[in-house]
This record gives sequence, structure tokens and C-alpha cells, in this order.
Amino acid sequence: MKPTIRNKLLAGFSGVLVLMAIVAAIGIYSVFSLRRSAQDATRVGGQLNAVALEIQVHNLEAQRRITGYLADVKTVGAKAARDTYLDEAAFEIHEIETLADRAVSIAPDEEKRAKYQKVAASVTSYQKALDQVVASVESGKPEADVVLASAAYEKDAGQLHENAEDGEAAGRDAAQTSQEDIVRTSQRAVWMSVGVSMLGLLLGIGMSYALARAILTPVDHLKQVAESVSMGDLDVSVRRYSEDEIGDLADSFSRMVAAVKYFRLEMESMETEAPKLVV
Amino acid sequence: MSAYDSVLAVTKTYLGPAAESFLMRQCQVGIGTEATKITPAQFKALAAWVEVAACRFIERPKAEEMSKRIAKLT
Repeated sequence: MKPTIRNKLLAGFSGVLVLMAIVAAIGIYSVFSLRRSAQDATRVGGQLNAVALEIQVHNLEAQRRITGYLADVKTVGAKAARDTYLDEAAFEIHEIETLADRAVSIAPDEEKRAKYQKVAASVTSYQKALDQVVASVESGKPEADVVLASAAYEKDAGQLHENAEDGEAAGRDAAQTSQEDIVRTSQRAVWMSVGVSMLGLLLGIGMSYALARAILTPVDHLKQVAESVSMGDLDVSVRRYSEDEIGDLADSFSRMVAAVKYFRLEMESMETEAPKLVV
Repeated sequence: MSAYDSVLAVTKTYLGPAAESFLMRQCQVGIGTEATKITPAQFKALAAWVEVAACRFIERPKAEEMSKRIAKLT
């Protein structure tokens, strides 16, 4: 492609358009990235937090049922107490298991996953401790055994409660991390946009300077040559600066100067020869 | 395109409106023939004259370039 002024201008404008497209692409990327981060914050952090709270609620409810069972089992009988309290408690424990598994599957990193795995593990030991309490109560074991089993159950219930609290903290932490991600992404997007804009600005200034130089330098030279010729100085050198329209103009001007010089020389030689003809 | 026209076309790119007059003079003085009757066999001789004569009013590199182009026409 010939480097004409038109082509140079086209290349310059295309460059600017490409830069603008890059800035726009970064903007679009940033918006989508921020939206994704915000969704992550809601989805992961919020869900983990909600799951942890639900586990706490189910844990408290299960403990309430079991406390009720232990209080009433001697007065209403084992079967009635089971029907009234333990079926409900089993449902609550099953819910805690399901929620813990769900939290493990959506936890964003290994650390938080481990915390919910601890919740799931403590549900298993909680269930075992509960079975032992029920067995010791219903088999008519001595009061000391029942107290021992109840203490073990209380310990596991407390452990489950602590682990659920840890899970809740992990959920809050996940939400906080997502918020930090949003801030980090938005800061990165701002810096990227500023960087590319500055780069575009510098390139724009550079291109404008190069283009102005490419046009003004040869035009200035042609102007000086034209002034010299118009003042009668034909011993000028017409330089072709570039392969564009101004270069073609320089060639045309060079031809004109050559022709003027030639005709002047021809005229001078005719003037010197004329007297001889007369003689 | 005749031999004269092809030489004139080359000369015009360097001398513009003076090309015709210049060629007529170089053919007459240099190779002793009328410009319109020049033959390709005479191009080399003409090229040598053109180079010397053109140096008086155009720069030497351009004169050499014009001469070479005329010589190449053969």
C-alpha cells in the first residue's frame, strides 16, 4: 500500500478507533467482571452465611426436642416421648446434615470447606451421643450412666454449636472476600482504563506529531523552493521527502524548475548566437 | 508507440514542457538526426548525450537516472 497522506490519515484514525475499541472492551469486561464478583458475593458468601444460620436454628431446635424428651420420658413413657420429641429431633439432625453437605459443596476454598466438613462430622458424633443417651434411658440403666451419656451428648451438642458458629464466620468471611474482590476488580479496571487511555493519548500525540511533521516539513521545503524560484533563483534543489501526494507535487515542481532553467539557457544561447547570424 | 514517443515519455518525467525541445536539440547536435526519426539503435548514444547535457539544469543523480532509463529502452 502506497504511503499516501490519505492512507496515513486512514491508518491514524484506524489506530485511534482500535484504541477506543480496546478501552470499550476493558470497560465491558470490567462491568461483567464486577457483576460476576457481586453475584459470587451474594451466591457464595450469602448462601454460606444463611446455611450456617439455618444449621444453628436446627441445632437449637434439635436440642430443645431432646431436652424435652429427657424431661418427659419417665412420666409419659418411652414410646410417647419418642413420638413427641425424637422424630422431630431426627428431622432436625437430618436437616443439619443436608445443610452441612450443601455448604461443603459451595464453599469457595479449602479452608471454608474444612469448616463445614467439621460441622458434618460433628453431626455424626452428635447423632451417636444422642443414640447412647436414648439407649441408656430406655434400657433402664443406672442414673449415673444416664448422666454420663447425657454429659457426652451435651458436649457433642456444644461442639456442633461451635462448629456451626465457625461455619457462620466462614460465610461472613466469604462475603467479605467477595466484597474485597469487587473492590480489587474495580480498582484494576480503573487502572487498566487509565493506562490504556494514557497509552492512547501518547500514541495519539505521537501520531499527530508524526503526521504533522510528514506533511509540514515537505510543504515548508516546497514553499522555500517556490519563493527562491519566484525571486529568480533557479539553482535550487527540490527534495522528494515522501512517497505520497506531496512527493508527487515535489516531482512536478522539480520538472517545472528544470523546464524554466532549460528555456532560460536556451534563450541565453539564442541571444549569444543571434549577433553572429546578423554578422 | 514509436521510438521517439517512448524517449519523450521518459524525458518528460524529468523535464516536463522542456522535454520536446531538449530532445530535438540532443538528437540534432548529438547524433545528427531528427528526434522524430530516432531508432532504438541510437538510444545508447542519445542517453550519453542526455546525461551530459541535462546536468546543466537538473541534478546529476537525476540526469544519470534519466540517461539510464533511456539506455534501457533498447
